[in-house]
Amino acid sequence: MWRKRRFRQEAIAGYLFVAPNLIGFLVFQLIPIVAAVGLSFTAWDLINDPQWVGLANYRTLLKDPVFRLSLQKTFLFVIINVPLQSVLALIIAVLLNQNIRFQNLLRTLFIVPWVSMSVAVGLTWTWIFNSQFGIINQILQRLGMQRIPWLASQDWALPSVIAVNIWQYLGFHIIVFLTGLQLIPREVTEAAIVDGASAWTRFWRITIPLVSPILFYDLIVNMIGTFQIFDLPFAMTNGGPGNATRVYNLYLYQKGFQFLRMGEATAMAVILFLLIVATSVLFFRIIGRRINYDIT
Amino acid sequence: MKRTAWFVLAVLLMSLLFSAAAGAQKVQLRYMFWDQNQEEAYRASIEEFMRRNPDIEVVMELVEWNDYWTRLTTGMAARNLPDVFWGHAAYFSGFVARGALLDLKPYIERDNVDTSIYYQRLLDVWHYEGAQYGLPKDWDTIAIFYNKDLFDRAGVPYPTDDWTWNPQDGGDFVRIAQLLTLDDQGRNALDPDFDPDRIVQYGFGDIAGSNMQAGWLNFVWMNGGTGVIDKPYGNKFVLNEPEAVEALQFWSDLVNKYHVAPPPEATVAGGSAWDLFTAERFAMVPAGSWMLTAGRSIEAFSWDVVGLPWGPKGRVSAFNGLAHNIYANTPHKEEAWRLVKWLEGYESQKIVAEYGTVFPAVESLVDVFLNAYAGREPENVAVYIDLTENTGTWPMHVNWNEIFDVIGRELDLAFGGFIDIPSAIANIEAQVSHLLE
Amino acid sequence: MRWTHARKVLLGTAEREGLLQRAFSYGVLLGMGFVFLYPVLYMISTSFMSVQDLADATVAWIPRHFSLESFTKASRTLGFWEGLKTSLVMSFFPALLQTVTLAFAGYGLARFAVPFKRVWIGLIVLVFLVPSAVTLIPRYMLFNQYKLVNTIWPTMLTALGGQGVKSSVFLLVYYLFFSSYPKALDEAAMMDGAGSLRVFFQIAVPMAVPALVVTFLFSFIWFWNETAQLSLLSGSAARTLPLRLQAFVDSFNKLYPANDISAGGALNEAIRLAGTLLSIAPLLVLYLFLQRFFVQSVERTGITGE
Repeated sequence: MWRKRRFRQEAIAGYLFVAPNLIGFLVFQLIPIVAAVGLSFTAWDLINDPQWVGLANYRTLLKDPVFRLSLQKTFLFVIINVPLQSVLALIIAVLLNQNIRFQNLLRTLFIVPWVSMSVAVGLTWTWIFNSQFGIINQILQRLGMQRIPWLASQDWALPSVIAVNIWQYLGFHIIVFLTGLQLIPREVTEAAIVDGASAWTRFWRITIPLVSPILFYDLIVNMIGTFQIFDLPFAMTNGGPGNATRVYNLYLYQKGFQFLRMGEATAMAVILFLLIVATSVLFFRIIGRRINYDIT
Repeated sequence: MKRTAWFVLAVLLMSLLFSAAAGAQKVQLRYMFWDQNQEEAYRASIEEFMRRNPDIEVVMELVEWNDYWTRLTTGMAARNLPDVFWGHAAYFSGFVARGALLDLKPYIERDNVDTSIYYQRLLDVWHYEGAQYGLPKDWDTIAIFYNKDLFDRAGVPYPTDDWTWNPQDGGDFVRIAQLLTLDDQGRNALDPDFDPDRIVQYGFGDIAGSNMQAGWLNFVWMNGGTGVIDKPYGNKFVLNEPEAVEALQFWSDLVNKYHVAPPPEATVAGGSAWDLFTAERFAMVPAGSWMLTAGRSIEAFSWDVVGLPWGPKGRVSAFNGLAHNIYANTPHKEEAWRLVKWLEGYESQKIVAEYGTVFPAVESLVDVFLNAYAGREPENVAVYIDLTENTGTWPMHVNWNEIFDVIGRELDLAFGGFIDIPSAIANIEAQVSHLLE
Repeated sequence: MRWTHARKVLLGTAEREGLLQRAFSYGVLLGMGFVFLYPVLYMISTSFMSVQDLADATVAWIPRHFSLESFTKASRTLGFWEGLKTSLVMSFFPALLQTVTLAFAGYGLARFAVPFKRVWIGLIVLVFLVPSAVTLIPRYMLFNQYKLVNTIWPTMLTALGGQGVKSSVFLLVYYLFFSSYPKALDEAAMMDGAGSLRVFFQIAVPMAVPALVVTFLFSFIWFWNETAQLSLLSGSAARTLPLRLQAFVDSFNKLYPANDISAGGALNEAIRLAGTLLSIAPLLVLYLFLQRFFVQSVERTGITGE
């Protein structure tokens, strides 16, 4: 009896703590999500009332070659961007975590692109990549090499945009890893040093296993974020040349706000959500089980 | 007892509401626009309007172009839209067909508004299925800005208004552009040793699929092409006419054959053509009259305007303008109409014209606008008026934005030399056919 | 003998790192640093250039006509001080609200036997997977219904509800954080008669300082740079620095076919970049300041595992 009351009391107290967040969740997430799923079954031009059309939007999308293309571009973006970015960030974080000079300066340096706005970053890079007047091609020419149509050709544009994306958000991932590295108990490293383990051995035997949960976490957060990439392709190429960098969210945005096909746009959003869930689950199944969660 | 208390409370509440209403007797109109350059002029006009209409208060909302249409469309979705807002031909066709705008025809007829004071072709832009959705606010045509200093340095005489182009050998236009295109050794594009891979200065710029209004569409017309769609709200794709294909091929030649202009990417991604013109990398750029205000900030060199070069079928310029549209669901239709009637009327357009930002749609006020440019660059500003003699208008279609997106992408690839013009046209046709129905 | 000595110097010993290793670290860091720095330097040097320098191909790095003009122009065009004030308000308060709400929620989920706990945590994770494009329009309609569009409240309310940018990440951080310290501490305080709130403030919060700092800092940065939702929901009521910057940084005819625009054309690259620098400078200052605090708090609170 006493226990039950205590339990109930605890539940009430717990809910009170969670309440603001829970209300926020219901009002700003759940209701809008349900509304969006509903809207995905309608034809809606934003101006007139939505008309129920059943699965028509989904059928239209499946037949739309640009939809498939944008999906393909997005997957490519994720596959190239995520591992490169996370691994590069991990390496830099490990190096920065040593006892080296200018540590704070270097850290801050890596942060600069992340705190800058994508639109501004994108524009700066388009100047640098400009095939005619850009500084990279000027240097290449001075070295006697051919100019490269970085953002002009359909082959180069996507890798160029990905490179900028890696550059821009690397700082964020470095911070994530630095935080994780600080969680490694000092005694473990010290003990290894006393045992005469080289830096290389320590990296593979201590750092990697202990950081693996954070690496896993970073990879998954990165993947989810990259699936929704929008700002950079929008600012740098607006999806061009042709459809070379027209990623999913860019096409979604165009459909909704520019082409006034909000029904199809919400259907796209729902599909993207399902894809992200599926990919995450797959990711957990394949890698998540092998991770050492026991940090200390 | 209880009941009386409720009654008193109700009366109190009612009286509170009424007194609030009495305080807010003024009708508030929201007015949305995008061009900061015109803010001052329109503020002056609207203040005059409020002075004459003490029962109306107008709140001006400046929303930059890149957010403007998103704000407008979400506003429509939420039934929360400014009562009066600037309209553009590119968006008008989509909005009007979906019933977002108020038909002004009954008001025009009731108030006997004299529409003959406007350029008639501008009035037609806002015409749809027998209704009239706007009165013209201003207009623009397309000419070419050129950097006098670069011409002087190259020893090339300034272009004259009778210059020509043709799709076969390019005409004077290409020759002049070639003389002004220089590689890093200072050789121009006519020099046999000219290296097209090391160009540091281009004779001409702003070749892009998205540059339709100030760019390729004018050349399609000048070559005898109909345009993009057979007629306003038509359903036939006509950019595949031989004349049009030839003109587009000429635009591609400017980049890939004559090397007098950079590929689209150089001006679309990073550094607009305007930036490169002001940085003296381009000797000439096509520019609509709306760019005149921006031109005022050029200090580094002297410049002037020349009309488009004459093509095989004469000289044709795009002719477009804006209007004030009224939101179809506004609760203040009458007041909104009074504001629009004022803004497009002679008196207001005169106030705005005096600021010299955009050409007024009232034909007789053009001189007022020109006076604003007396003694200032560009000397030859009146050429924009000559260009109104033979004009083409914006292609209108319910799905225009979607159609134009396809055209821009494919033409960019063609102008960049990655595919040829006939295959670009074939690609466009394949993608837009279902949108045109 | 000499060889072992050389080997020690190069490869290091247990106590000292070897030369090779150091050279490797510095080499990689400097190399990456350069790639990183390059565009940043480009941004900085360009913003100090005059228009002539920009046009002149021979001026690659050091401005010949050093000019602060771009900064004064950019500051004027941006309305820098006005924008700074707005940005501070629109970042500080939402970040604070989000930090607090999520701390409460994380604590509640971690320390209390809340029924359906797993369901809530599952939903929170799920929210993280929802593309923001899904909720944008319905949220707009919601705020519009309560006449909150074009005010600063949409941002404040979503932050108060703990649903701001990437909130679920922070909630998980809090949850893990509060789960990781021994429950005995709480119980001891409870025995002394402290209520849950007091326990939370006196025991949990001081322990969670690093999590609080991280959440606040990241939220601050994300709120600072958030433009898409803000411009749509708050419009002219919250003209933050990034929004002001975007207004003239965006090349206007990109998304939209027409190019009847003149406001953007008059601004040159130098002014844009100067504007960019002006709009990120406050964040850098904040980061520099809080970074030290952050590192300290990590050490002081001993989450290093000792």
